[in-house]
Amino acid sequence: MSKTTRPAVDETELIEQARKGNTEAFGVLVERYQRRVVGVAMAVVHNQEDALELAQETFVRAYQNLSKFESRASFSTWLYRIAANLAIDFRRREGRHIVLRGEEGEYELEKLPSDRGDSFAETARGELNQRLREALKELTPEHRAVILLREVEGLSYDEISEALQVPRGTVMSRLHYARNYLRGMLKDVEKG
Amino acid sequence: MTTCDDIELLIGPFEDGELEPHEMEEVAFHVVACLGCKAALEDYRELGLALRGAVLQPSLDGFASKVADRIDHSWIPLHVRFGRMREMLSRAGSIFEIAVIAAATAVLTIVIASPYAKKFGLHSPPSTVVASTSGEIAKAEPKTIDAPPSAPIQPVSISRSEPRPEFAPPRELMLGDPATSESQEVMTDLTGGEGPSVPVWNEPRTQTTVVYVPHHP
Repeated sequence: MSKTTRPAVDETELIEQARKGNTEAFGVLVERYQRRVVGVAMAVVHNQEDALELAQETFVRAYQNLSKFESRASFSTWLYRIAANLAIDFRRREGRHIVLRGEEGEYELEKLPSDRGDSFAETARGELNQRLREALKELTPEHRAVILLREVEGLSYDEISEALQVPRGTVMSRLHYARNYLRGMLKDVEKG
Repeated sequence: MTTCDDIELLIGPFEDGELEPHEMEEVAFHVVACLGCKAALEDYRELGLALRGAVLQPSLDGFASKVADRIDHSWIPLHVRFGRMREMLSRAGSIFEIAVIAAATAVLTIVIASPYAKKFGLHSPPSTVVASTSGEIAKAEPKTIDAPPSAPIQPVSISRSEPRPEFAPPRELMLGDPATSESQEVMTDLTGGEGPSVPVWNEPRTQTTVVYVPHHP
């Protein structure tokens, strides 16, 4: 068995075992996809605490509905879709509340001090990161979700399209808009 | 000749490797020759790096165990529950599995079959059975066991003109009191009257009186 085909075979076997009620096999799948599922939720709700909660719920729903999953489909894409659906529903339900909590979360992160002494490069990088986070908040949730899923989580256009249930062309146009917006912001930082 | 406006929309997908091969080639040729589009491509790359550095990933310590806890406390479909049971049994070993299955089968049989057995009279009160002349009983060899003192032998005569014993209620053939003569068998040869010799014995444990009537073709 070649190294390239082994993970796919293992995953199919793990899914089959999990379907039969083997929680350890499902635990392996959780370990394998937890970071990306949290990332998908983060991209949509933009809040760590809520994203972790939604990611856990994603795996519970996946476990309960494993019998509905078709083995021919991609398990990861199926998971991202569940996560995105839960996160979009959550965002609609929570509305403004979620934005306020997101701002508090960002504030906590920004207050973390550097104990190694701030060099010029570190300061500049810190400013850049802060501006980027602010700029991300200025984007609409739809544009923010697409660029975070692509740039941070590394999802393909098809995976984003499947997860967010929008056409591939919409993914491309949203990505183009978000990139140009953030690029303009980065130019301003360089000039300043 | 492709223009910058044509290429602009394709620079992002080019960076992401999401274009068709001929489009990838087209953008690559253009970017090499166009400084503006080359700068845009560099900006996209830097933006990607900056975003990955700016977005802080939450800690995933204990995430999987929390998911497992939630699964344990959540609604699980029946087929998954049965699957879990099978999984547990297979781990515990085949002997334990067989024992559990056997016990479960026995309990189910008792719980399900008993009411029906009562309903359909499978536990009927003791009755007297008269054997016919054919079949297995005709092959049985009657044997003599000492008759208890409390069970006097009642001679019975059956004439040839009378119907076959199965039509005659054999109440009078009951020998002794079955309740007091547990596990004893009584056999006698009834030779009284003008009738033929008929062996009769009583089986107290089954509370059955058997009359052996030889077949005379």
